[in-house]
Amino acid sequence: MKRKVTAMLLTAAVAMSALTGCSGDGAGNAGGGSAGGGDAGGREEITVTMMLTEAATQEQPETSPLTEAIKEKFNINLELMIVPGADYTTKKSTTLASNSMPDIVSGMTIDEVKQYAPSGMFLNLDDYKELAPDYYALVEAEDRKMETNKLRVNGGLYQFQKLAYYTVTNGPLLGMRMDLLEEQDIPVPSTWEEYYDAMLKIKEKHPDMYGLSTRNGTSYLIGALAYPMGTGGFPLFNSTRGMYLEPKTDTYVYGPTSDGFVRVVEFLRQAYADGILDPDYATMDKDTLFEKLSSGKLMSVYDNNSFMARTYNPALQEIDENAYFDLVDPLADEDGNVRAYQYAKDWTDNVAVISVQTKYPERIVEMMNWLYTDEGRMISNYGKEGELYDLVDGEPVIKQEALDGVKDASDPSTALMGKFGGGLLGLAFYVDNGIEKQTSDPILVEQGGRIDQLAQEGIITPFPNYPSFTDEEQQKVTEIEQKLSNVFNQEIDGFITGKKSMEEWPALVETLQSQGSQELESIFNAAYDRVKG
Amino acid sequence: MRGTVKKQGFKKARESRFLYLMFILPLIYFIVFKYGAMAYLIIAFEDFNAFKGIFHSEWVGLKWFRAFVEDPYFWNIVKNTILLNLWMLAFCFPAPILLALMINEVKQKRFKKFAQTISYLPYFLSTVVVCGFITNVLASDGLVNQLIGALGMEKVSFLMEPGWFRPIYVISELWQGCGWGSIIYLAALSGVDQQLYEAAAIDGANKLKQLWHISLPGIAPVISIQFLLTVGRLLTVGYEKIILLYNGATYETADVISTYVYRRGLIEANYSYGAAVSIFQAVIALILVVSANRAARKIGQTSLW
Amino acid sequence: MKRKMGMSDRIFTASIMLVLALLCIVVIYPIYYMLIVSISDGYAVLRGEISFLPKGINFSAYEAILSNKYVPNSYKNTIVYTVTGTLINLTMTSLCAYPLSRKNFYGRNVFTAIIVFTMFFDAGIISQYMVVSSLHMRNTIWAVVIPGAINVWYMIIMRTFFSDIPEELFESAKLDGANDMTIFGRIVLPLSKAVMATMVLFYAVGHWNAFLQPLIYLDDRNKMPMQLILRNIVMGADAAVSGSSSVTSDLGTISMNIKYAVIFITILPILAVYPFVQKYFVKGVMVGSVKG
Repeated sequence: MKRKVTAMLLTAAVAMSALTGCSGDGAGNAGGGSAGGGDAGGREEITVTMMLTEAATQEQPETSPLTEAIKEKFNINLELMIVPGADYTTKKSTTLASNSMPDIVSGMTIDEVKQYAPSGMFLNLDDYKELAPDYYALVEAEDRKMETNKLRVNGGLYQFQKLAYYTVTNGPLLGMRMDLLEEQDIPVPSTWEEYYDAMLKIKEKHPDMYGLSTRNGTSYLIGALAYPMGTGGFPLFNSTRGMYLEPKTDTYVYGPTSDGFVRVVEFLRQAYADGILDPDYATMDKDTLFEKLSSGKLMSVYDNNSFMARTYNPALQEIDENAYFDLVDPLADEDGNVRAYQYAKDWTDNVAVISVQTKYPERIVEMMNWLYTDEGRMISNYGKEGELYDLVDGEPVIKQEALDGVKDASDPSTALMGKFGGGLLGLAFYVDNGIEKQTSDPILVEQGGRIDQLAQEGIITPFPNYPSFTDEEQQKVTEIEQKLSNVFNQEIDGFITGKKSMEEWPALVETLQSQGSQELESIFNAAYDRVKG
Repeated sequence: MRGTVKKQGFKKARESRFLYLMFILPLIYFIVFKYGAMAYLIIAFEDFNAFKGIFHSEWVGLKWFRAFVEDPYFWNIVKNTILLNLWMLAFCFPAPILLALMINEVKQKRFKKFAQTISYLPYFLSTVVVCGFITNVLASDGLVNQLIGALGMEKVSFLMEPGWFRPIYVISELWQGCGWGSIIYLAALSGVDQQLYEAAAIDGANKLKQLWHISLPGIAPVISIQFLLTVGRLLTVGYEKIILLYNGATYETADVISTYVYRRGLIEANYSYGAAVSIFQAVIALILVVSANRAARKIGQTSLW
Repeated sequence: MKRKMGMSDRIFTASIMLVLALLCIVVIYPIYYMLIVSISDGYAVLRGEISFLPKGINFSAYEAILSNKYVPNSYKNTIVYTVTGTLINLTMTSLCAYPLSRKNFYGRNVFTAIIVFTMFFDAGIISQYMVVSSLHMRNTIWAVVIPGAINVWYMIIMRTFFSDIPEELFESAKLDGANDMTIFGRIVLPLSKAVMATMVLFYAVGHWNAFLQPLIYLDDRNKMPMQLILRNIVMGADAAVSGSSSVTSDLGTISMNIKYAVIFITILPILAVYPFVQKYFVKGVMVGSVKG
């Protein structure tokens, strides 16, 4: 049988090679250009294709003041291949795995860069460093250097990352029904214990309400609580990884096997037993969670604070005008330590890579670099001066008529930015969310300020990226992580819902260790040490 | 001996030359689009590097097959895949046949059309929407638990009980696909000779007997073919619906081959591993179909070849 | 069938009607629910207040979707792909199914096996993509309609229907001097209206709902079918499916009433096709009439 199959495959291979002809050396699309001449350093007109995604919430036009400016400045026709966001992952993987990527692919995640860069299909920007002085000045500056190094693959830098110039800070933090605290005359909790007692007290008065939930299932819930409670794992939305960077020791630790983790499990177990934890926590999707929050069924939630002002507060206030959620400062654990994550300063889920097979590497790098200059930043974040905004005392101010034009939109800032395809969801790479600041609910700006303040005090820290691995390490990491997550995911709910006794916990820790959690830690730390240099 | 066989073959081939003429286009289609694409499966034996391409990646032999078969979860996911498919075979396979037979018995044209149209509506809903709806209905305060509560029984967290996963999956598949699946049987039923029913009625056979002795045998070839093709899918379950319905607590029953590969794919895009798994599935499917086909021929049922 | 039904038959028919009616209710409620949600007030929907009647009826969800400037053009594209694709499907599938249904087709078992083999050894989407690219079909309508020209499952079903046609019909036609091609046109096709209608429905719905092929083969937004444009609205804010842990895509939320409105905008036109198909399910159009 086996031999037959092999024979079959070989026959098919012959058919295939006859068909594809020269496709061995690839690149259906790279270069894609209409330009004449090979002198890439010159200024003759060229066409560069860029694949990017259109978010469901913000429009992406084919041409904009930005593409016009690029044409004028670099004589580049930037041709946008706009893919609807819902299926972008599939489109990317097909294009990359078949080695037919266009000149630029934007909207890559850093994980994808790490997966595909070792194959050699992306341009190593280090080779063109002198053409991207503005970008390199930013990513190699003291405040970004460490994170940038973690995102290098085998030492090379392959991506133009979206960097933050100014953002209205938004974090996955605790939000609570302040009106209920006031109603029960409870002060805003500052420790986990006070928080739990507050929920118990509210529950007495409102037995139908639950205290807490998150969306996206168990590991997201644990991720939200673990780090603030003094341990870690499954951070932020990256809910598949149990690893986290423990600042006390500056080493990577596999959360579930760490000493403090049992406290998180016991907290959740107690909460489940007391009717504080929503019984649907493990299967909660975004829609269901939002329904519970906006119909007054939940007292608190760990999620982006922006959802409060934008989504559940207004819906809630229609049925109860006093009801509102507000941000609670991070809670102290038993030892009095206070800590929480905010999102990483820059975006690792939205970077651009350049095909190594492009005909015009120099000119593309120059063009991308320009997006990080003052000029490029202004036009990619605000459009053309005089159209949507005027400069007042050197600061961009949105025109009143532009604001009036979008006042019916569900989100005025994305509606405005969609007009010129700019901002984070558009073509800005050095992101200035000034438009959001000027159009948003003032509460969002105020909450952002509070988070910034806490960050300055060192209570909230940006989530540190994971280091990159060598090919060998990566294979091992994949293998171990899958084993660990299989064991952990299968067991953890039993402990929370009380089906399993806590006496069985050490056995689980042991199983996890036998599946290689310690080896995983040492691989992570070796990679981290390389980054630290 | 061989010579005469060959000669006969030639003669037969000449006789059916018009059929060959018709068959050329489909044949080219299969060679180009199916067998041409199949060359890609070689990557199952390679450490596929997308940039180097299919023909220049490093050859690693059976490494990925071994990784899959030796995986400690291998038996569990294979077992779950087969069990889920057996559940489907037990419920989702006969249901459309029953539905078609029932609709066929309805003489009131309006109601018949109405029932037909309604029954196949759910087929058009996307998996995401259906699963969102299921999660909602089965939540602790959802429709089903409200009913259970009203009856004075204890609430069940359906989506967290391994034992409930297969029933939920099968019911949702039934709900979504039963009406759609019945269309083919309705088409087959419309081909059953009306005179047979009339003759049977004269002989005094009641409706149930007519159904059993005329309608069912009338669509038996289609049922047989559908069955054979379904058997070939015994090791295949799509991951889309499952990843929306399962969670760690239900891995025990819900984790199947495709979801396991999918989760691995989230960590690293290993196309070689994926190809190895699909070759594994295909070989098993082939064995199953060939034996099922042989069995069908033996009992004189319509077979694939 | 003019005679009176016996008691047992009447009970039999009545219970069937009852079961069907119950089934209809079970099936229709979720769809009815989605319909009333799609026309209800956004905040009431968000709070989960809708169960049997709409609240704050309005059509803003439909307006919002239809005002998207890509929707009208994508609708046109979908219709073009569906019609062209289905025609190609029908032609190719019958060209394949008919020879395989004939007992005198020398080598039919081998060919069938070769074809069924492709059902299981499915090389996946990336290899398809490479083949389509090498044929220079990318970003054209052909990439959308040709790679799926024959669905093996459907083809086998069609073959089964063809082989059900009584052998005597073929023999008498042969005696009249007809060759295999003319027999196909004169006898097989007229007798196969029901299965052809079913195939039209199956293939057309397949094209109507297709998103994967258009997604990977089409690069130009103006060529994209409606499903691609609308899927973005339904799934855009849902990270769970793509498995991405993305923060960027998590910024906005799409309200439920828009998600459900999309469903009705998508399925209503294709629903209209069904009555035409049903016409061919009328009993006795086939063998009986020819024999007589």
